Amino acid sequence: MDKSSIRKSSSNRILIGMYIFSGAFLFLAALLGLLVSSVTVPVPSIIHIILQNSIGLSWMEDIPRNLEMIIWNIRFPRVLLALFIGAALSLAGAAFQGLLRNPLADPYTIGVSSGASLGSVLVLYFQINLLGLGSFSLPVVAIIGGFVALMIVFGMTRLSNRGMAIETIILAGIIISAFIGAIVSLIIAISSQEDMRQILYWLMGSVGMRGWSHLQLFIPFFLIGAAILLLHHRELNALAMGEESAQHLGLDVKKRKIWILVGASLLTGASVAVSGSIGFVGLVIPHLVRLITGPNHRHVLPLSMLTGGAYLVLADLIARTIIAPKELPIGVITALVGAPVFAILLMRRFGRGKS
Amino acid sequence: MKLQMSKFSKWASLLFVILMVVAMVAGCGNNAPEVTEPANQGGEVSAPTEKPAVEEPKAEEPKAEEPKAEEPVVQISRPASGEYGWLSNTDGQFPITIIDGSGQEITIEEKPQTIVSVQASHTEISFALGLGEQIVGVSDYCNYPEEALTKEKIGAQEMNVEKIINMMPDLALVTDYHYKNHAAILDQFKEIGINVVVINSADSFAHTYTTIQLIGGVTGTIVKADDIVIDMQQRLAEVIKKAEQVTEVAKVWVEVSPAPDIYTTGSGTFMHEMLEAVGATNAAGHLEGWNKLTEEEIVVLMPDVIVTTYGYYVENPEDGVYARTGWAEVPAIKNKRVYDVDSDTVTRSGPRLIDGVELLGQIIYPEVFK
Amino acid sequence: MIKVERLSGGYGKEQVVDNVSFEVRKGEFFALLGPNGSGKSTIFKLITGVLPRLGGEVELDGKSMTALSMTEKARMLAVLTQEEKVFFDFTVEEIVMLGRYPHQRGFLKSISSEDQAAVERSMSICKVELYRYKPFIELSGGEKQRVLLAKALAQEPQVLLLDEPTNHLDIRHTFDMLNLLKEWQQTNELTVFAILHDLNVASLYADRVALLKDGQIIEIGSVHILRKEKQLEEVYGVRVNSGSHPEIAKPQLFLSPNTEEISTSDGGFSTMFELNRDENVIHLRSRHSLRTISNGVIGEGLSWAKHFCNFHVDKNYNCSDPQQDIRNWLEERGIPVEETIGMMTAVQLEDMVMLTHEANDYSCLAVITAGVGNAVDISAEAEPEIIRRIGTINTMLFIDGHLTDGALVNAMLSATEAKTKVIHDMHIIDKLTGTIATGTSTDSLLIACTQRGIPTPYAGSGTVVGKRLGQLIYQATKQAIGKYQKRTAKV
Repeated sequence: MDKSSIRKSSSNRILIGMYIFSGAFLFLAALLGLLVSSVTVPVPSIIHIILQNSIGLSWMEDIPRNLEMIIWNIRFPRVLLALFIGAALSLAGAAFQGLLRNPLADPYTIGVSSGASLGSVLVLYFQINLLGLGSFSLPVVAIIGGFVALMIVFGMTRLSNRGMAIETIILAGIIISAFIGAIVSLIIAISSQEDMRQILYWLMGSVGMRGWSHLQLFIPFFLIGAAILLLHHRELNALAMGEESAQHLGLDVKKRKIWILVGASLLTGASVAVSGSIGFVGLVIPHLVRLITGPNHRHVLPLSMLTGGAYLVLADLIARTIIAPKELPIGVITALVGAPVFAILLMRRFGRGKS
Repeated sequence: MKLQMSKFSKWASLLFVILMVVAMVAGCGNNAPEVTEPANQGGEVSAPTEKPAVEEPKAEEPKAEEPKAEEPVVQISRPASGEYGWLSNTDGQFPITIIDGSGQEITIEEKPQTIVSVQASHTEISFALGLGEQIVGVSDYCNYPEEALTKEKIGAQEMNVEKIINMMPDLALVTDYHYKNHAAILDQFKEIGINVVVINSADSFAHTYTTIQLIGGVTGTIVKADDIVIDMQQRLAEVIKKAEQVTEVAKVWVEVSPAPDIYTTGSGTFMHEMLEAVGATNAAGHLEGWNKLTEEEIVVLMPDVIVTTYGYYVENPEDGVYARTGWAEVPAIKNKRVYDVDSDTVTRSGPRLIDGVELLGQIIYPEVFK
Repeated sequence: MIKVERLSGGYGKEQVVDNVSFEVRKGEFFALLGPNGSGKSTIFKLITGVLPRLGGEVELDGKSMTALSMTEKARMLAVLTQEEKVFFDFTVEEIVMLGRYPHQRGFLKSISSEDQAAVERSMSICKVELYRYKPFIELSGGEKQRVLLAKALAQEPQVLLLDEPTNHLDIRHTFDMLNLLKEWQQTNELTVFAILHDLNVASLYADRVALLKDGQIIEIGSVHILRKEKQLEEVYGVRVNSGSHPEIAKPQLFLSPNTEEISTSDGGFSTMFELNRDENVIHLRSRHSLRTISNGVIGEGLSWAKHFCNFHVDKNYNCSDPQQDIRNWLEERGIPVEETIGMMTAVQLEDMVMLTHEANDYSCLAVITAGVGNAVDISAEAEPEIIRRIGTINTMLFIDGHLTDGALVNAMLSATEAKTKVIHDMHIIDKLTGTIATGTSTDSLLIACTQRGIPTPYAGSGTVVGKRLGQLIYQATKQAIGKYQKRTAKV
């Protein structure tokens, strides 16, 4: 008994350490994202601009307006957007992996991102300007597209399986994704070379050339989706043993499943709507987190958010500096980093023998 | 099964990503400076230095027609008030108010000392207008004149906003694409005092003239702009006149991308206009805009001449065409009349367009055009 | 505790279970038995709510199940099925802690001290505290099931439902698990409702059982309904023999597969046997295993055997451990001990008598050695003497027929009657009492049957087989005693 309590408190200590470390990592990443860019701005100015615009603290005079604009209107929202989207995708990914009981699940499995992508591509191809929203049309149409896709997937699932079995949802999601993917390919095929480049670039994902407005559009979805998922950490744990088992523990499985799916889809749809489909974030980050915390969702969910946010900020940093002044699409960075990391994780896991 | 499927689609999407990257990188590059035919420097004016009519609006001054074939009719036309390209004054004085691609009236208070151009054609035009010193930032694809390559790069469709703001140029020349998709960013530019002028993409000579004059207007070089436009018009008129001597009209097939995705220029493109000007028939003239055709569809057209524009990223494009199986009966192949031309001179809406026309004439009707 | 009334349901619209009613009392271990497809799992799922009910009511502790919320239900009822696949590296403690879900209330739902205590208790009862921090997936099957049991017990339920929880466990782990269950049942008044596929295991652990066939209950009652062989045969479609566990007062079942019929030999019954004899042992070997009843040193009681050995021992043989001695001798000769009936005698084996009676039915073969040195009148008043002198009548009787256990006992009676008659007719005297003996003090009798043909429960003097064996034994014993007397008279 003694031994177990010592171990327990040390594992508690590890957990607290993890949280502190993740928080610090996030903060440092954000800081780095703010400091490093194709245009060098002195550090004190950066801090001053941010503090002045956020809490009104000011001590320097005569900071050129354009520098202020660069930091406050361009760089800061960009870093924040990367942070929130990274957090959203990682959280959604962790939830999907827990819900689908499959380590290979990621936020794009059930078709929400395809719907959002299609919405965006349609806007780009037809140059749709919805209700005079201008460049805002794209994320709005995309979110709508994401939800339409989700409804179709749910509908398909219900028609074939009243219990909304997870396997059926996955299958329906794959079918819808494939179908939508074909339509997107069709649009790419018939679009002019310039349009095609634009569409492909958008599909790769980017957090640049957006601003506070995109962030403002994103935040509500993020808050609601994150709240829903974080509150369901125990349900996600209970579902780990299977749905029947969870039902015997007293879970209203169908209801909880739908809540979790909706929460994760909010996060995914809004992310794709605002920044295109950035892959390998929702897939890889939860695994890395689980390596340290174990699979208890009470910790996996919040830590995935912190780690994912930091990760995407750094990925964006690399994307915009590595071939400056040109920018790589951020999806390329996350894929190039994420895929090998994931492969290594898989090999470690199944290389252990028992799986 | 669950596992298998997800894993497969993960690898499939990774493959897709990689393919996209490759496609993008292949599809975009046009950075190699291409020096093909010695083209006329667009700035040279060989027409008589007659001041263009200044009265607005549509002041048309037909020149006295002389029987000499060297002096064809030229006219300077200005867009009316409220139309795209309208200039409040053409005396080169500031402030000047214009209507740009955003449809709004933009007022430039002072002559811009520093200029950033996000489009290769704008850059070319600016250099032609003698603004080489004022240009401080160019797009990633600006490759002409050579001096443009030495300028700071500030992105293209995706602008490096931070850099532009940091430079604080007096004037930013952007395109309608930027206006449609990143209006908020353009507003940010304006907010800190950068003049933003939206130049619509041009697809005809007439539009190109408007573009040149608009840029001339906002940079205080309207005189030079008009000169360039007159020169282009005169040379074009000459070409059209010479084309009257053509007896056997040639059917020309244009390819702007190689097999297997062969794209051509239908009506409403520069190429089409140029082919008509030199007296040739555009084999794809029955189509509108840019179109993709299969090899069978092209062979059926039986073109006399084939013109390719992708020599800057495909080696020996002519050989590629000659090597096509099943094309042996096509007149252009039989008579070995496949030519590659510099893409920039035939697609970029700038002063070198006229070089492109003349080049096409020489290729298609060498007996007629010198 | 659980009351099921007119329950009907199935998969989709198909009705697998029809109008089933039964009751499980508080604190009892109730087993649901039946072959595959009889509807056991369906009833189980209808009760737990996984399948929707097409008709009928289920009550838990007097309250209708439909009236209970999912949480209330989970607080009273825990379910343990066969091993679940877990894809993540949850530790054992985390898995067991999942069982506390229905008890964790409040918005924040953190782990309370009650939760911790319940988890500790159930982990220690199920003896899995050692594995507390081990990842669940790394455990063996038996360990995993114990952990899942701990999880179910951590729910602190009043009722535990189990669906073939020991399906893939070996004997040791099966018993481990069921023992734990029984312990908890007895100490905490836990009601256990289990589907068990192994009838014998169910018999050992259940208090009451229900027998299910084609979605209907055939019978409910105590485990002793498992003695109804005919019923079980109808339900399971296999030949069943009900027997008794030697140590526990619960029925155990012997199931018969379809064995190949023993081939008839042309040469007669005796050609089924091979006889090897030397001065130390008479070794009779039958082609097929025979059903035996005997009081041999080796193979006593009811058994099956192929080898029948009568060992010669010296008259001063020290019989402190005759079993081990015979084992050794058998091993020396390469004769499998488990398939042997072994006897000992001090009689010279040359004096063995072998007689056969061939017939269309109930052929008999008798192999007898007889020495009457310590003949005893069992009815006379005298202290039973333990001193051995030469002499014991070892009778091996082989019958080509099918005798039930009762018939075997009957056959022994008949054989003994014959033996006693011989002794009487030959005027063998009990040296101590001077009265006519009834047998010797160390007689051994073996009745072995081929179990071919229609079973008969009778083998007494009123039957063909009884009379026949009696006569054969009479003849053979008489001859054997004759030989003995001749030899001893010479000395």
